[in-house]
Amino acid sequence: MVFSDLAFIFHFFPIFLIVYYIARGKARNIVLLLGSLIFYALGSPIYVLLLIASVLINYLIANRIQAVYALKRIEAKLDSDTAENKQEETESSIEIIDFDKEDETSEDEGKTEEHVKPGVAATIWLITGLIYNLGVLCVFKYLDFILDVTDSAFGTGIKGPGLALPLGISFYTFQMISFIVDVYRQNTENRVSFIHFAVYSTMFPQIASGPITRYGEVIETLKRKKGVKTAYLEKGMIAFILGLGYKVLLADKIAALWNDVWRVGAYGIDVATAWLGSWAYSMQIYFDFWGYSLMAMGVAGMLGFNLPINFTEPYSSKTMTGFWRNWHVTLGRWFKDYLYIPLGGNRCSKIRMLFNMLVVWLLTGIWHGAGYNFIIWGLFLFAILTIEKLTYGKWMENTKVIGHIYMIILIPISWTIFNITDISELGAYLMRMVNIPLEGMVVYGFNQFTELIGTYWWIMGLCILFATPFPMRFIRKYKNNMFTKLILLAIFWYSVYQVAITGDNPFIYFQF
Amino acid sequence: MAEKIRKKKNKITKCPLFILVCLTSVGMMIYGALMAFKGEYVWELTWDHPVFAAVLLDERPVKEAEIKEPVAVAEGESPIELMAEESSEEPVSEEESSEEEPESEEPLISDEEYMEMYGQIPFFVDGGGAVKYINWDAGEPRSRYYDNPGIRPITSEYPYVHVTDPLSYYDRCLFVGDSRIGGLGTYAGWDTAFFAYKNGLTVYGMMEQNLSVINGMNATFPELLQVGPYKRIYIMLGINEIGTSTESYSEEFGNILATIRQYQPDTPIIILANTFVTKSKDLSSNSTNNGNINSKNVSIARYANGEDIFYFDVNPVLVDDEGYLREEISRDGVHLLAQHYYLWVDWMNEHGFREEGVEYAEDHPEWAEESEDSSDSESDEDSEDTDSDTDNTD
Repeated sequence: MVFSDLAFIFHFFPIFLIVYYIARGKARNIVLLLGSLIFYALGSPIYVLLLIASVLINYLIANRIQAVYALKRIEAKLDSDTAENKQEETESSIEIIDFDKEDETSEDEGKTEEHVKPGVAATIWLITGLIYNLGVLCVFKYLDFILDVTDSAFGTGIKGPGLALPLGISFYTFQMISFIVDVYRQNTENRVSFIHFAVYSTMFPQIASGPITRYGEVIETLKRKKGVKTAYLEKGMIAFILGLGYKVLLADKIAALWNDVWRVGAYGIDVATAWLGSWAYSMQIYFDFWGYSLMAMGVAGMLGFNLPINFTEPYSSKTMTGFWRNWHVTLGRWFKDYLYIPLGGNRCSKIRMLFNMLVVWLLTGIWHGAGYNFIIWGLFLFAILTIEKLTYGKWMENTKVIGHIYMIILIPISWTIFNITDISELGAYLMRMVNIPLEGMVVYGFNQFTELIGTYWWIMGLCILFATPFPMRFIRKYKNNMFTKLILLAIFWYSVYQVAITGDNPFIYFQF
Repeated sequence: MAEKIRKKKNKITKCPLFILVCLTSVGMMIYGALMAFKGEYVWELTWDHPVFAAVLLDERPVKEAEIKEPVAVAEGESPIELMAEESSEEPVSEEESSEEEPESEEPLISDEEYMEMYGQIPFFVDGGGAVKYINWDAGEPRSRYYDNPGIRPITSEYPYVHVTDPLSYYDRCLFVGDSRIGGLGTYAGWDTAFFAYKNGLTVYGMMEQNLSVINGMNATFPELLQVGPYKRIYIMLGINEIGTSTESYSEEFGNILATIRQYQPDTPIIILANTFVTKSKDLSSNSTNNGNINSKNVSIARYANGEDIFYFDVNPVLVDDEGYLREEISRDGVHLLAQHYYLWVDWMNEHGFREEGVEYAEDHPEWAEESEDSSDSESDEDSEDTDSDTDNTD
């Protein structure tokens, strides 16, 4: 079940919302936990057990770490050690289509009042947690690939078990890692409630594909000191409808253009068609994932949560560095906070910094999937970002037009590497993009590019328009206007109609 | 009290869109339920199908009189009844039938035999039994559009010849259909033929929609018919109608044939069978599966009379042992990859009709020897390909 399914929109969510609002105070957390487990089980009945196991094990580990700290604090008190550490604050969540600024709370109670030195025991528990989470991810996501690679390299003859990928495993594993690291860094309360953690890590609005949320971003709502504001319902609905429209009316429609190119393969396309196909896919993946993220924020918003924003107009960027600052923001900051900075970030020698970047981008590539193309994709991004950092990056940021042209060329190349998992096919497609003829090509005089443009010009035009910052600016400005609301209502019902007649199309990011 | 009401009113005015979505949703639910209750639409309320979806999808209940056995397609007045009168001769002698399919070892049955076995004629047959069927079980029905007629039509029997010069043979031929015809037009290399197509084209939109024409000017189908005459007209439609009833598809297909006859009385028409889909596609879709596709094929094969309307089924060279489109030649499970259109092209070239003034290999056995000699000199890889194709065709 995905957010754009009729089953979700008209059955699961309304029923859930009614029960959620009938429940009061902390009972809402129980309702949300049960609702989330049911949501997960409807899509992945067996793997819900794995999810529950991960929640229990991670909570146990966090609990052990906190127990170590509690003991240390008592010891410290007994020793009358008054040394105080400055308390780190968790970053405030990024604003979602200005989901209440005034709602930000200054309450910090419950957070660690004084930091203690982690010590060996806490570190061992942290490492245990990391090994468990990464181990689970490796077994379910990478085992087949690793065994295939070792088999082809050393002829081991061992084949992978062919396990299906558990829904959202890449996302919830990263979220759980972020939690135990935050606990280890003492960025959470001294004693995290099990229900709070369980709801945070299984919450159905973000379990399948993020945004990868931090514990600190949801804890205030989980404490249930205030009810859900009516305005949140409205803003949540706006975000949900926008996301639904992006997914159903843009992503799923432009997908047909890419499918037309993809189904005949690299051997049957001319150079212009190859580029057109890549641009179409670039639009598809953007509106698919941004649409999903908006829907997730919308659903969470209607439940009173302020999830972090995942996209900030990435296609308006002038460099790849800028692009990745704005694309899948929550993944980028995860890698930055939990890998890049611990490795030394950029406050070290240039060689070390490049090594850190290589590790981050290689892992970003692998995180997206078990395949050679994802490794190549990660390396490609590393190469481009390194060149930008060392040479023309800053200059390009200050250009007016050249930066955009540069990205119009780079974005489709990057997504093509990401998209085509078969290496030989990927090579063939990239060769067509630079107009290198392939052996055995069967392209004849017919102009595919003109034909495809003739068919898809309107949807491509809409995608380009909505990839610019203007529509979102317009919505932000006029979101309280009744006319805008009626347009959104029309978009909602037209999207529902499209879903009804075309059936469900799973989100691209569900496979990661 | 008044304070409470004012507070509630305030709350409502703060989320008008949320309220609007809720109200319209409830309204649609009630409307769907009422219409279903009145019998206008089907009553279907499942987890994936809200009660109003029947309205959006125009799912109307099937009236009892319309319910027929799975194979039954509308009998009675056929849109191309007139054509039946012209086709009274026996089709072809058995020894002349060069087209044999892999499944041909199974018992072939004619319409008459079918009637004996099942107690009814499968459909209105114009050609006096011109179409032959083989037994073919499509398995258990998986959706309400799914059919399992238990039989499969095969290519019209005829003394076909091997086309020696495709450019001349397909000169002034019109191919019309959906995206698959577009693919054939792009990759067959028959630059003398016209390929009129539109992605997603159906029999229902065939007469109105503007078609892209490869090697010609874009036009609607009736416009194209007016500018004829064509040497032959090939038509392939049916994959986009997979979610509609076979009965209405077949009727509409017949109407199209009748329209062609109206404008082009003497042009041979070749009905191209819908190609099957891959196993992965078949298993992943309730509607797009080979049982459904075969049902569509069965329902249009009846129009072939073996005289001036033929039924061509290229599936035998495209499918695997289980009857599914081979996974390696299709990426989306429906269309062929560009480099594999040659399978279809070669098959078509092996099913040519004699043309005056053209020499055919069938009349010159000595050519075969020459070509064998020449093929020996070709690379091993090429000759392997040719062998495998021949195997499949046979």
